[in-house]
Amino acid sequence: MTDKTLSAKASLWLATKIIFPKEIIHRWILKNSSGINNFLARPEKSLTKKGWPKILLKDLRKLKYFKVEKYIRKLSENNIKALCIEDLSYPPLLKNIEDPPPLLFFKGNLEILLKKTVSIVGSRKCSKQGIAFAKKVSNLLSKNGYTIISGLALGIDAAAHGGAIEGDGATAAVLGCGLDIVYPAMNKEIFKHLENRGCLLSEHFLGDKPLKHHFPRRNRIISGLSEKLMVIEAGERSGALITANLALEQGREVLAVPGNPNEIYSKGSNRLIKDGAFLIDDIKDIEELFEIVNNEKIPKYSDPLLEILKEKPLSIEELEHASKDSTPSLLAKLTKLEIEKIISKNESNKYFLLF
Amino acid sequence: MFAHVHGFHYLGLQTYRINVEVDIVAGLPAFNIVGLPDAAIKESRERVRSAIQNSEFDFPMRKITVNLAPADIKKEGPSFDLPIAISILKATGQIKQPLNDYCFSGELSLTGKVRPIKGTLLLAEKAAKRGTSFFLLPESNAREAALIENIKVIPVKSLLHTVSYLRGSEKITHFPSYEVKQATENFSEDLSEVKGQILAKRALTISAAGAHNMLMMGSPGAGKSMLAKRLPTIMPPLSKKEIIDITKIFSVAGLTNNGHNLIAKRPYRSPHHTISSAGLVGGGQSAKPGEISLSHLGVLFLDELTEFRRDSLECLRQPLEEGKISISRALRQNTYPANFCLIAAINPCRCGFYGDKVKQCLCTPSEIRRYKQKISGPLLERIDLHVNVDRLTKEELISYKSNEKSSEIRQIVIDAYSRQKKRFTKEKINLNSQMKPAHIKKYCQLNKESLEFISQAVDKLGLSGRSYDKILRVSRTIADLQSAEDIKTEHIAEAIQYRQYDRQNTFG
Repeated sequence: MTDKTLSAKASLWLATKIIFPKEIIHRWILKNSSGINNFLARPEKSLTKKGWPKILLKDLRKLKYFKVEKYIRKLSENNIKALCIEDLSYPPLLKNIEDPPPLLFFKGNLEILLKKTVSIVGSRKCSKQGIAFAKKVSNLLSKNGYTIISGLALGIDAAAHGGAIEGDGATAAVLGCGLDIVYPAMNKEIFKHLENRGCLLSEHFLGDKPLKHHFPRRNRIISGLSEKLMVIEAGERSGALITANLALEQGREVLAVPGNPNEIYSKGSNRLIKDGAFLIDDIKDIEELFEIVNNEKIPKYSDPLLEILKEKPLSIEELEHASKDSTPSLLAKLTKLEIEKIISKNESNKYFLLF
Repeated sequence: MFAHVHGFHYLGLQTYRINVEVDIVAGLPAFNIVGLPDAAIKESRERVRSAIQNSEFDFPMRKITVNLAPADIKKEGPSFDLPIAISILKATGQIKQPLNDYCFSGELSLTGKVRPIKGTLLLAEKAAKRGTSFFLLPESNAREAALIENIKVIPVKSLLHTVSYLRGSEKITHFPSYEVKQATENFSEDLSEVKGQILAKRALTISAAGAHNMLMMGSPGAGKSMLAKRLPTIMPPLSKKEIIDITKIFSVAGLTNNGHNLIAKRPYRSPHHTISSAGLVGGGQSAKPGEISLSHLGVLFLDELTEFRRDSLECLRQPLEEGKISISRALRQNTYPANFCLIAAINPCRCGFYGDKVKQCLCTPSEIRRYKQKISGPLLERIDLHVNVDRLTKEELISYKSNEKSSEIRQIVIDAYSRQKKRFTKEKINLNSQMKPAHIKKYCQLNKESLEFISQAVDKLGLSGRSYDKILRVSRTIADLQSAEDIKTEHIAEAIQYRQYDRQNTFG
């Protein structure tokens, strides 16, 4: 990758994107010409013959003389670069989907996208157990050389990024807004980290707001960037399901983590499994599927509390009943286990095992 | 013809001796009261005249001037009716006995009956301090006043009754001074009535022992109010001085009549969330005590904390820190004690069912977050214990046995209480929750292992640095509850369980 903000082709694509914001036109160009240079060099007649609307010829003439310097300066001021579909560094996996974004803005280290990648998505509204699982999976995968790709949303997405960051692994986020907007603001820490040590991607211009309709389109990039998409907890109408459908259309492998039949958090992911998604219900499944070795030894703790918790998450009352311990000493033990990151507490105030 | 008698007056908790002076001179019949009287005192002219005439005394048809000295203090309320009437009778020679050892307080009815007044305990205390021997006051106020030693409380029924006593023609035995017995505390509630909720119960025990403020978070119907209401049942019994202090505040607020003269139980106040800031901390034209002073040495329960008006809640900050409140109004500044234990309750989210086992929560993640952010940081800062209170399912309600009784828990609390008292004899504070950073440094010393543990916990559990002091304060109380001299790691470990609200995880 050169240090330049963008290649010559990319700046042509940038101009095209400014003059013709509609995606349908980009798709037409990609389909009907062998590149942006080819498209701009062709006489108007040959274009209209292929179906280029006459009404847009005026804009096309404007495009040929359009100066993008001002925009490029703005990008470089924000430390943002761009790459177009014709650049060599464009992720090959993404290139092969049905409607790849012709121009991608990015911030950070693009090279991590060329490594082995895996996309992890899920609901914003999720359980603490889901978060814990997402963290663990992304931590494990990122430690084994995978780049974790997600959408910087609250909930599972944030946990997926977080797990990789905590393990010093690589992770990238695809945003549904301009790269100068931190959305959601709560994930500012993650955003900052990705800016410096990961990668932030977006097909939107600087200043573009996170509008509702951006996100379903954005999802095609998330699924397009990797061969496998893992859905951890998706509600009945979660955006993660859109990503899963797109992944199937793109011929990607969809993996899903099941939940209880009555759990709202997992209604969607359970349906994915019913429809044929690969079921993941243990960290061992991941190890086998991704052919990785989990070097981390599960710490051996002989605490009887852990034996009790193995069955299912329990509330403090249930724990007291099962362990016959006094409340104060039970609470003290639980804190110690929480600090050791062996157990955690979910939103129903039940303690569950983290491994 | 001149005469004067003693009366007493209070403004807020401040008391004054008032000299009721009467001068009756020749001239056109008139009756004037001077010395900054309010409307109620000006009206007492009519009551006093009728009361004297209807008690078959003579009312002088001359120019009467009553002065309430010192003249620069504003006086209010009808309690000067009786001293004014007595001083007129004295000035006209209808009472010949010297009245220097007596003081009077009471409202008169037109028939001459003596009606009850407010603030008796304060007046009696001041009277005793000034060396007055006999305090004549309305019958129904006598019990309250008799709590004060060194003064003879004479309950009177009517003006005629009073005069007969002063003349010596009728004997009234003074109301015997008495000791307040702890047995007067009969609670209709007991903590054993609450099933399950062991975490909340344990937190209540800690709160009772060290007067730590507490925040309960849980779905509607989880039993938050039920738990809070039972906190006074496990708090240590009040000493006589404390009973007097509380009764004084209630007395000023006019809440001691109707037979319950003494407030011998720790007060439990649960104002509705629509309360104004004046209602909460005190105020109004006469700068009356508010709910926080009425819960002095007791419990102030704020249910639905997020629904309270922000300005009302912000007013709590100073009293929570200092244990008292100064209320300034145009004409006066009153200071009331407000050493209360704050118990607040909130729902986990707007719909109330986030994390509930049965009902589904309908809120979005950002709504849940926004709901929690509604509580102002500085207020949260003053709350030591955070606990989750979960709604029990039907099966759990049936299967859980009720455990310890309030009286059993109370015994442990009393022990912990006396340990703290002993520790802080040389300090200005009494309880662990009142420890300032300097005290924490002195009394919460940790060994190396515990120090390492706490810093690890702050680090790994995403606790804020500010929670450090609170953890230490609470662990001191936990150690006291177990009669331990030093704070050990397990005390700290338990204390960390009560900092749920602090935990932040940056990455989801």
